[in-house]
Amino acid sequence: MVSTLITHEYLRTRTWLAVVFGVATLLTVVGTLMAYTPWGFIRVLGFILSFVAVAAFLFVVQLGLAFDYWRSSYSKTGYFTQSLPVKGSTIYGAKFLWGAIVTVVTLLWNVVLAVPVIFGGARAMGDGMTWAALMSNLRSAVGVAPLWTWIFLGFLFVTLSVGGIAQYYFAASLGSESRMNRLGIGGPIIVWFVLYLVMQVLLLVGIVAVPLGLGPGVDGHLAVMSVNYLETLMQNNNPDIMPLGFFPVLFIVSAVLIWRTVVSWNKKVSLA
Amino acid sequence: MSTTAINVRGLTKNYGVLRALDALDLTLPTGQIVGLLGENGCGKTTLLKVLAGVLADHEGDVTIAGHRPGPESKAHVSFLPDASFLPDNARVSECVRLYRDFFADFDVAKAEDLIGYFGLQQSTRLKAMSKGMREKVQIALAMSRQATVYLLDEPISGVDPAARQVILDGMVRNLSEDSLVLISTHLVHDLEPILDGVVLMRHGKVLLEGAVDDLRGQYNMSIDQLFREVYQWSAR
Repeated sequence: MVSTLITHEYLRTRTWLAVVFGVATLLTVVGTLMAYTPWGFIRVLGFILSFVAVAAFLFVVQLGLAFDYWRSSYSKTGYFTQSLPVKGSTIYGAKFLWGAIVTVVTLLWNVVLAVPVIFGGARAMGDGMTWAALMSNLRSAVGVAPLWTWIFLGFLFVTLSVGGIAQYYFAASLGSESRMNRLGIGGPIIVWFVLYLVMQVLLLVGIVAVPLGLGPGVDGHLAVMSVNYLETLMQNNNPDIMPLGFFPVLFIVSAVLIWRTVVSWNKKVSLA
Repeated sequence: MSTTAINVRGLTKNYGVLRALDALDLTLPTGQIVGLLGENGCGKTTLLKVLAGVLADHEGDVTIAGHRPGPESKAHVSFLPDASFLPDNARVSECVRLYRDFFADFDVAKAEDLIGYFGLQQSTRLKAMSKGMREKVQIALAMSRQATVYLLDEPISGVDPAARQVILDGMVRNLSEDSLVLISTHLVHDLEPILDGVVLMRHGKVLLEGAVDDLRGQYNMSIDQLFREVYQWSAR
């Protein structure tokens, strides 16, 4: 049944996903071509265009997935979905899995699109960029830390990006329960904003509670180091070290949101 | 042989301070077509949603097709909501596939027969159809399941009188005698010829229920006239 559900997730979302992927690719290509023109203003404009297309790509895709999730689960077409002889948590699981697959594919395509943006950016700033120079820069950047660190960071980034889906879907489900379902799409939007504010507080608590950061060590290599973020915050200092305390918060919050969304699907569905 | 298809005891559902269903009791056996009648806001749609398992947060005991509303009951209940619940962009053939893939009791041949009977093309997209045509597609799909209970919410509202008759004929076409069809409507006159029984609701409760022939004999009037009389009395 899960494979059938995912097949229909694909069939329902493929058209608009193809449009978003196509527009992002087109804007990136056009922006990069503009960056290679001889006119300074057009060059900068082209770089900005391609940069924004790549930077907003994942956000737009996940927002589209969230809207589709709400519409197919709680709006008019939700009547079909909620009438299926399948446990609610199974339907949610299939939707979440499809959202995760789309997120990973989007991230991979983002990496591909980032290449012309880097070339376009270098051109717009007046410097040239060759493939060999790009590879050399990349090797230098990767060399500041062992390979496992990059694999670990990549895994964290992908997992946290998928965690974004958990937040959007939680907001859509909770905002469509009986207390708020008369508000239509307004319910999920309100829940998302409240969740966003709560997340900011929890992330701050996580950063202060886990005094660890990732930054350049004495030998110039990337290393985990102890940082008292509360102290730096009080002294209004910027330690230039990426805090690690927000990772466990995001993982724990994502797990709690997924659990509560499952409860919503199994016991609290209330179509307006 | 008729068995109990729907058994509801003390069903209460509130929307904030508004009580939509008020300790409602109802028992309906299989093997009949029942009209769920009442004026707007009397709780017909809420009752159907609870029975269909798309409305939680209610009090009371509900069993339908032998199960509490949930995945098990949904395997035996075909629900037609008062909304366009199929994707606008889908073709009729894609909607048939949707039902075929998810409902084990869906009869593709019956669906294609009904779609043809309604004069619809399978290649047409729903967004290119009129409200009446979409209504016919949804009815063709919902009635093509070999369900124990069919819950139809206002299936002929907003459809012209000529189309209404075609839809009603289509609904009872090849209908299993072992099933229960519960149809909510206030278009009593159109529906009366196909009804075996009626349930009249008001303020979230059952006001009157019984077999159509018995009620006609008891009150010496048609169900349509009885409907008008009942709501005239209770409105005073």
